[in-house]
Amino acid sequence: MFYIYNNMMYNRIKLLRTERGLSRKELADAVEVNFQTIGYLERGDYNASLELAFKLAEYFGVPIDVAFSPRPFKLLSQELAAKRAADQ
Amino acid sequence: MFNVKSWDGLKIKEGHLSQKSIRRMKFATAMAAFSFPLIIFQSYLPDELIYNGVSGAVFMGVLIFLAICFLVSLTFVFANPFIMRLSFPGKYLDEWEIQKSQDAKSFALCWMSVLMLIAVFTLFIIPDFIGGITVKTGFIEDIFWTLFWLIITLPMLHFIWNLTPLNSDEA
Repeated sequence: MFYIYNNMMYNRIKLLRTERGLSRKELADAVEVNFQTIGYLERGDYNASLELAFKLAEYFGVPIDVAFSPRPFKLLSQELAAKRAADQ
Repeated sequence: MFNVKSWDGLKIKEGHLSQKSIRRMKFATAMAAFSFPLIIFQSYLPDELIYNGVSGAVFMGVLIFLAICFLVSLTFVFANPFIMRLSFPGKYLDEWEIQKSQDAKSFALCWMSVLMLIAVFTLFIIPDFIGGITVKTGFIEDIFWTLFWLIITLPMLHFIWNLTPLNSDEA
């Protein structure tokens, strides 16, 4: 069922950014926003517009639902374990 | 050609979003917003409270202190890139700034509507129904200047008081 919790979108921007060793400023420059927008977005204090969400997903080369979700994300380790179990 | 987007003096830097910086801005905007009405409306205090021996000297001291605070905080507030950005057209702002700017302006509009209604009722409508009420000369102008000042400062107050610190160690 589709349900938006507290009118908030969850995201993995911080994870994707640190994975690539980028600073907030570098990521902000790449998607043409200011660094504080990235900071508040990562913290969940701000919901990105559809345009910015697509820009970020495109920049990281991931489908948009990998970076943004209306439901809280599972831990990456849990997802990997679940995927491994499914593969076996 | 002058390009407001690329002018470094108007860019928000990480230091501006530290807890200390935000606390300073909150204090300065509150001082700038409320000291002006206090200075204006001191003349409506009963005469026996003012210019009466020691209490008069204390009162003058407080007034001078308020005036200095007002000027200092005003300089600080208007030199701040956050506040400057509130007055920029949307094309120079990114989406977070546009949203914050719109929230601040909506907040100010709501409060100004309420304050204007109160002012109109108390100054023009109520005295029409209740006879014998006279206002001091210049009172309406003072109300006007206070409301005018609040139009400018209420968005600033909303913007700054809703900012949360963004630590650089989160980067």
